Amino acid sequence: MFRRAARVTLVALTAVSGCARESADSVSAFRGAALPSPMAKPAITLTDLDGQPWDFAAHTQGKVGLLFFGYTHCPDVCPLHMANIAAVLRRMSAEDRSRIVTVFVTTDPERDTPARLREWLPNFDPTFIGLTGTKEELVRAQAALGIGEAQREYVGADSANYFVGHAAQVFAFARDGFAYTVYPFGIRQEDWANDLPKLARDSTGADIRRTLAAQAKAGQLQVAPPQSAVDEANAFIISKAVVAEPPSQDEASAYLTFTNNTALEDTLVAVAADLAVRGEVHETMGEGEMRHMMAMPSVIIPSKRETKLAPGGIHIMLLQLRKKLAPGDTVRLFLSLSRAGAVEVRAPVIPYADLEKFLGMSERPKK
Amino acid sequence: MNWWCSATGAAWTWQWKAYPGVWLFIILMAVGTWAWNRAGGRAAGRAPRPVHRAFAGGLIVLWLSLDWPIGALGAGYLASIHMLQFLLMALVAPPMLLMGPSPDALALLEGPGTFRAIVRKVLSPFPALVLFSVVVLATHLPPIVDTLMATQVGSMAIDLLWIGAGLVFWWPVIRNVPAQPRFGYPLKMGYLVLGMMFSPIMFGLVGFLVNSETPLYGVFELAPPLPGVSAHADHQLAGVMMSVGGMLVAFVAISVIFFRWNKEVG
Repeated sequence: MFRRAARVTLVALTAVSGCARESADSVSAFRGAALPSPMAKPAITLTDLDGQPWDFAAHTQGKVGLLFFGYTHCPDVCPLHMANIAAVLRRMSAEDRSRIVTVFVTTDPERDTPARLREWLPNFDPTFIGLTGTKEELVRAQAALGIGEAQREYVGADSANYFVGHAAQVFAFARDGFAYTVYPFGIRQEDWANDLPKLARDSTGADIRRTLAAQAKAGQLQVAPPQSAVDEANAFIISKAVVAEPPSQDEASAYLTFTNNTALEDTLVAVAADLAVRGEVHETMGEGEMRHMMAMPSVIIPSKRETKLAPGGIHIMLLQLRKKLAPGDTVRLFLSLSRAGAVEVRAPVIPYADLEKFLGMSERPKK
Repeated sequence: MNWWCSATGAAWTWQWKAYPGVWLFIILMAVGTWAWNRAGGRAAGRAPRPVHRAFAGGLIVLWLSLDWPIGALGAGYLASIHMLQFLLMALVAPPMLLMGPSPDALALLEGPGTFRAIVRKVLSPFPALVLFSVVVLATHLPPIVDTLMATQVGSMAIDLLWIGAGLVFWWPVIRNVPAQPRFGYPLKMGYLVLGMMFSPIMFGLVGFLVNSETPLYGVFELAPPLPGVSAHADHQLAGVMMSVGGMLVAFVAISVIFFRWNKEVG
């Protein structure tokens, strides 16, 4: 009996070590998401923290260039990517480390002053490069990589309090000047530890291409989807967004449907709109004359389910409207979700009586 | 509103949050034990005895470990606090909670029937030790933790498994129903050494947590970071806590048993 128990224990403990052994077995495969086709290093010249022009292609020539767009007030994705890259770099050989340049481009130049970036980036690694630029330069830089322009999402009426919705992936340009892989949010330290040495040691990109081709042949390649593609079976979709025509200029109600086909629960943590000073989530409570609304701090969006924000239940309140809304208007709703991130949805204003008509209407989340 | 703490991916704030599921669970534990004691008293034809003070202490420990902030931090932010929860739920609270049922209530387990027989079997030392070890191991496997902690139901399942396994593990040490005449003081001390102090399962987990080059659990590695806390250091601290915490609780319990034994013999 004891011997059997000991054997079970051994097998189970081996399962714990599975992570470590797995990384050793599949050390030749890339963990990053492969781009559908290699991307040439874009011509991006921004401003470094000394106010000097910084040419990404020139400064990373012959080196691995890790390029990320984010902002220092980011509560999750940005500090996580920076911390995970830094943790892995610290464990790499000095030679490999010297071949990697990590570049952080702010998408929030107003708050991310050079002084702020100089204070924030060394918390992770003193060698990380911080870049900034004008709004136009930053928009061009993001467009050059095929990612959408970062968007502000205001929290309440305070114009200084906002999140910035931005692309969540790190672009890894290999030493030959091409990006073959990107690293979305969810990439872990063990993934970076697997991929970074391979990127650092291949000066021509030949080994990278060979490895990725072998992975593709074996059906083990995770391919980064093109910007426009949405895998509905695994996607987080927001549809049927609509604003009911309000009786007054004070406030309006917005409704929409979340379809969370991902394996993880999400949470709606903040709402804002371009035509309202404030956005809040409310729940209608009680019946008849006892009916009243209560503000909710957040809404859980369970995995593999549809969550409707609908009349008579949980819905969005747009408060202190900037104009009287009328049918034909479109309201831009900025939703902040803990996992899906910042999502913008356009909601048409319609008469309350026509709400039913919108049941068939859908819109994809736009990061 | 969340009813149970789970990993939400939202940035941590020190703003209090209500978890009504936790409150309901604590109330159910209290009411359930009271009802069990009442049924035991009625069956024995005696008035139920007041509940032991340690039981209330156990409920408080359980509530503190499940509710905000420990519950929220442990469910979705820090592996070290997750480990603190494990220590409180599986090792600290159960021996106190087990003081709750009265002898008359326990006597209800002695009756005939398949269910009672199974319960008595599970509460015997060897099955209890095996069950506890299996639950400890399974609930610390990275794929299981990463999957379950992302949902409230999954997170609650882990918490309930810890509490349940802790109660089963401590039962033969604290209570004498079912009677275990051969499970005397020396064997009880050996049981605690094997189950906690030098448990191969806990040693293995501690080894992986402390020595792994990269964080073991994705749910804590990818959680919105807390200022000044690195995921790697947090995991190492979790390993140290499991090792030191397990030993400390076992040391205290073994000391109590030893002195009782000494008193009885002397």
